[in-house]
Amino acid sequence: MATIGEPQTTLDTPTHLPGQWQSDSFLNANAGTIGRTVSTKSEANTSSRFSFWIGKTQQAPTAPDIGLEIGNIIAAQSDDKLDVTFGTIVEMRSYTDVESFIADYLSHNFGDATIQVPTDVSEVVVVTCNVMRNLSLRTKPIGRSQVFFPSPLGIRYAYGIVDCTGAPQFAGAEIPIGMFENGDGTVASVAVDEHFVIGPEGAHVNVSGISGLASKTSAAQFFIKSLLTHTKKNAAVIMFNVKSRDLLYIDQPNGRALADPWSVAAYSTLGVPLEPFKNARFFAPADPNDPKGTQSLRTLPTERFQWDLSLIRGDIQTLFDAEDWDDKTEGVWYRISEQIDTGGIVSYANMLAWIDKMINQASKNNTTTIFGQHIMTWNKVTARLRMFPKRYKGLITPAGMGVDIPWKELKANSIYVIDIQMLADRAKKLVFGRAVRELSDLMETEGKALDAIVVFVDELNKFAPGGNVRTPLKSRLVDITARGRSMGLVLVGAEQFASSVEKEIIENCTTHLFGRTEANELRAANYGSLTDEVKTKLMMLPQGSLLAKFAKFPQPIFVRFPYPPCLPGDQFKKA
Amino acid sequence: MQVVLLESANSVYDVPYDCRKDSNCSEFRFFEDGRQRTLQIGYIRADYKPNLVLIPVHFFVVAAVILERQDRHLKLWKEPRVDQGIFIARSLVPDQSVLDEFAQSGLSIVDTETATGTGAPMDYYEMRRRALNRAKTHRLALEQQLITEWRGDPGIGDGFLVVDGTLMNIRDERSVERCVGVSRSFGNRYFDIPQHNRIMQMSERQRSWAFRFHDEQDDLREGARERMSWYLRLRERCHGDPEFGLLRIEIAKKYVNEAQVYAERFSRSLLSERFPTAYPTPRWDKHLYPLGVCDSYLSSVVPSMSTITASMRG
Repeated sequence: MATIGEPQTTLDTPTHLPGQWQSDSFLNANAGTIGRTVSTKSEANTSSRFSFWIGKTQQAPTAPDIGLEIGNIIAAQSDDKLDVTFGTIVEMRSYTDVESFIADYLSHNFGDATIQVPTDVSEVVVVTCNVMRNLSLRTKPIGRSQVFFPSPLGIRYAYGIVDCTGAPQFAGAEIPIGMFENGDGTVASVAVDEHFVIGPEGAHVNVSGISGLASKTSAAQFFIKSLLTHTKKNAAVIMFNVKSRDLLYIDQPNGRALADPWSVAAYSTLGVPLEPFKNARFFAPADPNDPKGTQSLRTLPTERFQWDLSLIRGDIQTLFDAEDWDDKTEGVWYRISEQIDTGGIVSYANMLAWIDKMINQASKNNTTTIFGQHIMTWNKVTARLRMFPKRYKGLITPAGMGVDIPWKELKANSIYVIDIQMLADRAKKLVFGRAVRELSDLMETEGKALDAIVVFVDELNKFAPGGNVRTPLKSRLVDITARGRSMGLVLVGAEQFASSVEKEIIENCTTHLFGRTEANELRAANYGSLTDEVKTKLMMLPQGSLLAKFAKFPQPIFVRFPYPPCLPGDQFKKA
Repeated sequence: MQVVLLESANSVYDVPYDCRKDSNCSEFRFFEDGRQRTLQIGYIRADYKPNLVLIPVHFFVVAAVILERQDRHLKLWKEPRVDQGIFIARSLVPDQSVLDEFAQSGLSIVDTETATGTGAPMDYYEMRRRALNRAKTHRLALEQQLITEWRGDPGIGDGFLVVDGTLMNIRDERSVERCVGVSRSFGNRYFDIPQHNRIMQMSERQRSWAFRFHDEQDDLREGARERMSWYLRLRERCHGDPEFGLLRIEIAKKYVNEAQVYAERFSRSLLSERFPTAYPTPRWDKHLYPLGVCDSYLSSVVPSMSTITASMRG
């Protein structure tokens, strides 16, 4: 116990003391003062929001052009220079002293729009910012302050990437997600914390936006490249190619990126090599007409997989209609599984033959039940099971040994691309579900070689739709996003509408990347924290830009990312 | 009031002004306005046996500003003049150290005993009246100082200064030479009733005859103040208030020989200055936009009555 006179243990308060920083180093002095904070009788500044007016341009003649817009970051330096508060612009309003619309109408000689009056009406643009962080780390309303653009250090401090001395703040490696371009032309790299992307503190990434306009696949490819480059952990990646040739040539260089100076510079700044993915292997269901071929659209070497009963038995339910898979069907399947376990059934054809035998026997004996389940249920199940190998030719082999994807060969920096674009939705779910199960098992094995496996899948809403529909695959994905950060299984999902994906999955993601998004979608609760003006910007976001929301960021940030390092599949031309 | 007609008063005059062509034709570059705020913040009890004297203490703020227009935008010509302090009947205060405390806090101490008044100087109400009168003269003096400084600035060139109110308060004739006073409320009638009614019935863009006048009460020892003046209708009255949109303009007597030229020229500029309008604020019909901006600016630099009350009594 401490006694009076002895040194007391002090609590580690999170506040910074003045003197630990030079507040000027967080500001871009070249751009000059851009305004001054203001609160009024009716619109107070709070600890989370503040307003400032934009003043006349005061910058030096050599300073770059200034163009404030929604999403820019500003730094408000208190008049005593003891604190700097960083804010992101969420609203811009233009006020004039025109008393009413009719006053302006009258001012123009009763509606003559060509009339020019001797004095322009006084106009002020008032900018509202969400508070991001301040140097003092105290939660308090901002006082009277001059407003500047922040320096690159200021931007990185505002996002919690560095502390007030410029030292890194992240627990894990910095994983760059793109470049932030501020209104004064200052460019800063924006990174997320590895420990919050692939665990153990948090995990999972979700990318959403309008197809064809949001560049979701490109964003994910760049992000994964950045992750593999900067992570200090042993990580492998599994990508599912769910449509067209999207991911089928990720091992090929992207000429467009190489020819684009901004992209080249961005890769250099972000420390990511502008080269395609190495160690990539491509897998696709076997071609039923070609014993060595696959059904992939990729024309370069691709490995085949074909699953026999032993490989798919745990996921067979995925192939049934949701309404077909009831308690009775499950009872029949339970009996079949028992038979497989005893070694009485070794192949798919074998299973169908055994079921036929059971049904015939029951018919002969004039019994209506088999192992307690009605014969009609057995008939229904066998009809479905008989259909699957025909419908999913190449994926399911009725006879012989299957060929699996070599999951256990995954090692650090391995990339598997599994092409399932040719499969019907249920077969896609089968492949995806089985892969996730295999990967879960792999990551739960003692002495595993990998710290993390990143699974990238587009059209996540197909595998885990929102709403009340419960499927085993959806439940598994919910479970993985809940527990994956600790076991190292990381989901990078993409979809048009984040609102169409199971809420729990979205909520478990620590990183959200929003591309251009439709107005209807923006009405969903997922976007409730965004102001109308940020939403408007999101509706008009150019390709190559995203709004990034990260668990450790105090506010979302608009970032621009370069062209992906690998060739978009539709641009591949065979030599 | 001594009035001399400079043009025939048999009719009013149309100002040649085409709104489409002339809306941007104002020649004015400078605009001046002043503001005063006075609040009684207490009183001092002085026991001059057998008389008990209650001495009111007034806080005041007076300010004056000139705005300059460049490229259709208004900006400060120079920093505004602002003075704040205490009005008090100084010699009656028994403990003069109280005044020192005010002075040490940066407030001017202005003696109200020098203000003009009609009642007994030790009467409480008379002292209050004198304080209020003093506020006005103090503000007018501040405005006059500012205008004199403006007049001495070679940068103003041949520019004219539009002053909110009469020019009769400015004694420096050299300054008045470049000023245009605009009065929006009228207490005096300068003509007989038929002539005055003619003014009250003017239409939009009509002006009265020019005239010159001086105050009979004017103390000639301080220099006789004589001004040229005329009325101008800015907006159509539409059978409403006969003073709707009506201004009275004053300029220096120096221009009486070219009365018609100046009356027409300045009327055209003032017709332009009515835009942008401030509808539906009070007196919007007589609103000249740059003077409105002067007023807004002064509002921002002079503390409001509630702020003064809170800081003085809180």
